[in-house]
Amino acid sequence: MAQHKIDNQLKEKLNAREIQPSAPAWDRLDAMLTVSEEKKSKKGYGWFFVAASTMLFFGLGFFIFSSSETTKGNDSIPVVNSVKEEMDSTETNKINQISVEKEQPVLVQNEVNYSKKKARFIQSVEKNELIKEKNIIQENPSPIIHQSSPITYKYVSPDDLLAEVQTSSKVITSDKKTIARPRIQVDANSLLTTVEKELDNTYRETTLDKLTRKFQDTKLALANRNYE
Amino acid sequence: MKVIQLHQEEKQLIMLAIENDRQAQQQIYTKFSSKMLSVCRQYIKDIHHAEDVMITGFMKVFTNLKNFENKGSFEGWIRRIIIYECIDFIRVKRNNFNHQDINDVTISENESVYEMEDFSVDDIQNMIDNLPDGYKMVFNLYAIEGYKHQEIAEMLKINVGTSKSQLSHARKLLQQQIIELKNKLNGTT
Repeated sequence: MAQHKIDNQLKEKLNAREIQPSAPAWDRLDAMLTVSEEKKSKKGYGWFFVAASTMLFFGLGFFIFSSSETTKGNDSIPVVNSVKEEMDSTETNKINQISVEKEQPVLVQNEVNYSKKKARFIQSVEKNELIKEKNIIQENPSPIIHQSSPITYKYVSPDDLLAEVQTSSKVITSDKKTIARPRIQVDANSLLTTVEKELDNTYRETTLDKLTRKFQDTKLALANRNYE
Repeated sequence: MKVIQLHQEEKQLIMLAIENDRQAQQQIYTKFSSKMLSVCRQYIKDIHHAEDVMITGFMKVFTNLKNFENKGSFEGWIRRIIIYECIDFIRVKRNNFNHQDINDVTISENESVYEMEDFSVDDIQNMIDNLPDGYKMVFNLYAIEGYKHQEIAEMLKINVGTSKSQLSHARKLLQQQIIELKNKLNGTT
């Protein structure tokens, strides 16, 4: 009991006591609280930045992935075009651009027919050869007479005519073309190529595409100029 | 009515302090800081260290204020945090308490009869300060704060028997000091 009494006396005296802290104690606590608040806010922003950066990363990845797919798709078309254009350019050196463009589908068709109906194709070739021989035979005795039959040269360009005048052998080739030339199919192909070109232009072009296109244009222009 | 009004004011202050309202935090600090520094002083002899511990204790109070459930008294909740802070400080400073097992001590219950009314708070504090850290800790927690030996053992991570022995030793030492002080005051050294 005496022990409890003493404890209570001690408790009362010590609990009644108050010690005033020094003046800068609150300032120190204030500074500590400010620092902890800043840390908390920084943590919050840190999470925000992490989230934003991941979103940006995935967005960029998706954009690059999708753009690479489109460029792959676009690349496939220009390759074909370039091949066609190359074919065109090489053949323009030979004769004429228009006549060559018109000749292409004939060649393709001939290839198809060749794979399907070899015998017929051989026969037609033989017939063509026979016609060629006949023309040569006709040419040898009287070349003037051959020139005086212009019914087949209705759709031949003036350049062709000039070429014919200059060399008599080319006349025969033009004759051959007039025989094997289906006009409607040739126009469709040229129409298709122009449409494809227009489509390519309407698509979003990369710098590489632009460069290749311009290069091809200049190449074509140079070839035309050389030809002229 | 006044008690209810005070309680409402305290609740409002707490709510504002949770929202990091610095004025509300300062009001809480000025209301309880002097009492809490006194508590710290009970455990820590150096007043500057006691103040440091009080500041870090208040820091913990404000950061954990949202965990206060308004069930007990707010002062009691702050006091508990401060006491834990003092225990941590002494544990770090001393590395461990000077604990002594109960078997080493012979406790005589009847010899601790002394009067405290003649002494001032400073005298009492001086006597407590002269106790070893382990004894002081258990004496403060048991005699002043009113914790049970089981609770003290859990708080200080010691055995219940050790807590009892520490208290007994603390009382014995205090008794010796009281006798010495009384003799000083009476002029019979």
